[in-house]
Amino acid sequence: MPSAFGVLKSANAVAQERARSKYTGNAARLDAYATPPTEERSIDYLERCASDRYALLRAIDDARSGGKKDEELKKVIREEEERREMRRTNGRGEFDEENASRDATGHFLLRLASSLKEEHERWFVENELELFKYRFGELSESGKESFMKTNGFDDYGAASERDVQEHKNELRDVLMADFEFRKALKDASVNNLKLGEFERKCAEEARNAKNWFVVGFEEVSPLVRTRRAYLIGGRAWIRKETLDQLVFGRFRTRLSLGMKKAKELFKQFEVAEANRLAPLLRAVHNKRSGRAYEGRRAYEGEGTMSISGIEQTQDSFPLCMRQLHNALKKKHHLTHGGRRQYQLYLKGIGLPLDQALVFWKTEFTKSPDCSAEKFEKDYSYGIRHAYGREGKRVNYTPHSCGQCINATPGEKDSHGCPFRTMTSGGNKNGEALHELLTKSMKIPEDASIKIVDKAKGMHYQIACGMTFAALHDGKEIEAGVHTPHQYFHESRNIIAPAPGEAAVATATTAA
Amino acid sequence: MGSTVGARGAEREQKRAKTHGEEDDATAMSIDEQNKENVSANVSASDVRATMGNYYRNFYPAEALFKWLSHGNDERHAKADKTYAGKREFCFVLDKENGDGEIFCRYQCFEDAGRFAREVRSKNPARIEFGPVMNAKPAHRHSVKLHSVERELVFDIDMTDYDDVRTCCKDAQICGKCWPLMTIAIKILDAGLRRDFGFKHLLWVYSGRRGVHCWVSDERARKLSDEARAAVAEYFAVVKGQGKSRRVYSINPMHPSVKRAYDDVLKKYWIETYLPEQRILENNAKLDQVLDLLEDQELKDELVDEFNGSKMSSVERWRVIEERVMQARQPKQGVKRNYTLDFALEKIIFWHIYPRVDIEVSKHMNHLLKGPFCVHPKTGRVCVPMDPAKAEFFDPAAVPTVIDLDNGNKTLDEAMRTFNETFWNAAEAENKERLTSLTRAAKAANATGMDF
Repeated sequence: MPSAFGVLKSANAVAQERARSKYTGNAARLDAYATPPTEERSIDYLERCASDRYALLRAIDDARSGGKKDEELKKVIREEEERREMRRTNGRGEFDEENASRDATGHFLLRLASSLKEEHERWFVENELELFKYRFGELSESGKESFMKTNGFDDYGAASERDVQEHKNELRDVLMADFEFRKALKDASVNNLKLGEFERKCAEEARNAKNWFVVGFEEVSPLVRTRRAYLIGGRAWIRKETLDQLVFGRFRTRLSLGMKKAKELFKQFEVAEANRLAPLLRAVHNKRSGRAYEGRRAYEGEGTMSISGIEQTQDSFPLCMRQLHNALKKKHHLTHGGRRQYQLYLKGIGLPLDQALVFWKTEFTKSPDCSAEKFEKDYSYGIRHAYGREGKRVNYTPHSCGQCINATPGEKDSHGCPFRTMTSGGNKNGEALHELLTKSMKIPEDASIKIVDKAKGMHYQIACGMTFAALHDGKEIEAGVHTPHQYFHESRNIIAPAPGEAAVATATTAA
Repeated sequence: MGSTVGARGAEREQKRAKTHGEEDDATAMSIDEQNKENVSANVSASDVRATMGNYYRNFYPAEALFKWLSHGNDERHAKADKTYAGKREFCFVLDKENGDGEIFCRYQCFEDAGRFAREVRSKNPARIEFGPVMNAKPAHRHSVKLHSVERELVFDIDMTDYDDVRTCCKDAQICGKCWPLMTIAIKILDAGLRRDFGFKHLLWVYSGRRGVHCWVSDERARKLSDEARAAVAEYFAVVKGQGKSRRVYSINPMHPSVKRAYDDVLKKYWIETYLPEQRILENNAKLDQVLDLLEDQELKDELVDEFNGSKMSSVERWRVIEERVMQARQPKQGVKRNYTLDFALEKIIFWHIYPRVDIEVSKHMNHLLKGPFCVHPKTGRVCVPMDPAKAEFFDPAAVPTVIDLDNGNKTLDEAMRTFNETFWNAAEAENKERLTSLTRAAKAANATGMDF
């Protein structure tokens, strides 16, 4: 692919650099993606690399939003890497040059493809980082060291003996307050760790200058946030074991910088590659958009949903949206978070702007506290804003499950993810959720108990998917629940398939 | 108070809701409560508004503020970034013509101090908010995709977040009995930002009514990513949540910075100021709230009985609680020890008086925040800079109002002195130093003859 990457660096310079850092030893297992591969490849090959990379990251994203982490997540990544032939080492732990090249090519292509839209960029950086963390974790200690050296991640300061002695009490306290450190010590000790013994171990560890590294606090935000570093004058003292965080931070920074370059690069070759690479890259992220639920038209509020349709299709609404709908009907009001979540969702299922204004006005003005003037003054702006007709004029995407789950609704609010809100805080026992599922949604006791258990285990999207199955004769959403409006469209496909849509649904489920 | 780019409608409404709330409180106040120095009885909102035009013409230090926000780049210096100042977003909050609500004029920008001053005088805004320095002039937002490049790291602490630990006032009111809570917050944050993060140029400002703002202006602070800003804010968020779900995190054991806050500030203020002034242990509901934090029903019942009908002061009662907790901590034969008691006393103190920072304001570079020297519309008070080293002597009631200034009863001299002496002089010296060192570096680079 000469024109795509050739612009970035002359082939010669790249070849030299590659030769210098030629996959050696452990570092071969991990690429920091500083330079793109320069081999000539067919367009089919490129297309496959890009879509495989997309699939790999998508699998990671799905697993994460499904609540998977640690070992479970690692398993998913490993399997997907193998399936897509992107594992950089073969079964015997030897470097697989062909796979590594596919891995790097896929990375750089998807980087370009993701640079076109801010939300794709965020998605790409986050999931690439997750993949990187997994691969870095697979390295041996010496592998980590050599990776850091090869990629210039090793310019951090060591703590001096004198500094360590001077601050040894503070450093001991940092260790004692560090939950991860405590956990590691606990796991390592055979007997119950007594407080005195714990303190002694911390003091011992703290005194050893070899254990400490000094970096700028900006580089280790996760350690600063959780107070797992000792800070003096803007320098963060971190433990050797937490150096990973520094590497992740730097990788992330590089990736973000790389995205900026990718943006420019795309502009440069866009014209020359108008018939080959450019359309290919544009299409990568639209894989899912081919489906009805991410249809562009729906975002733009030109769908075909009507006000009466909202009532008629309540059976297809996910629990969060039923909650909002019911709250709106009952109180004739929703707080800001609820309005935003529900407005964007209704847009996502195809309610056009003019209908939305009528719908919200009708409901809100049923309340004696809200006159038609008040509605126009206080609330209509928000609706037009959601449809990109006011303010920044961004046509906002409906909230994803992640956004709903991360919302922090207060007592007066009705938004957020009910699988979370009804299994946390004062609702820890999940009884309210169980009652809601069995009484108003008529889900059988035993199914409901399983759903509530999943939700209690913080697998909210899985719980939601199980609810879907319970309400749709056991039919599942193969790809998992990711956005409330996707839930809706999947449900419509089953309950009232439009001609042609059913075929799309089966095709995607099979794929 | 502030708003985020993109959520303008929402913020606007929220602000309006807040304003409505304030009005309700004001009218609901009984005559007794009028004595509280919340809103000086002789200041009316309409008088304040009418005087603001004069204030902007005669007192508002537009030049000094613009100079600060330029961070040395307004200098006639070869290495000064001449485009810097013009890329800062300002937001003028104007009154609606019918007097009902506010209009946010976002994306204002000014080439120099003179233009800024002129615009303030001619627009006579109710409030001026400062935003980030962007990649291009905010006014060009239709032709360039704007993003924030740098911005002071800001903190916002508001007394309304302390309502459940105040017995003297609520909502917008403040008095000499609860203001020390702000002093505590200033002391702890100021020490942490300076010692732990190494920041030097902190501008503390009274927000005009019931809170304080801090503008960290070091170059390093201005360049922090949103992620790093969030990390700094969270570093100070030892106490999170509201009301019943308020939790104290990681004090068992304490990180050195948390320990310093406790040893240097909290312990002292708890006994010497907070308990005697707020007397929360003599108020049944508040006492209940405190004793619940022990998470020991037996001990709680015992203490409730002991205090029932007692004439003991809050400090005396606290001594009793301390003693009982210490006793309960002793291991007893056959009784399972309650380990939550190990840090129960500290937890109670943190829960009540540890700073409650509105971290959302700090997290985002593009969050607008009301600038210093604005006028609070209800109190008429000027948002004056504060000296953090003398925070305990700051008296909100003594802050000049625009009406005082207009009558010639007070001046802004002291406020300007505080601005210069506790903040600007050092910051300006560093700006100059930075420019000089840039020149030096450039010269050195030339001398070695960079050859690519």
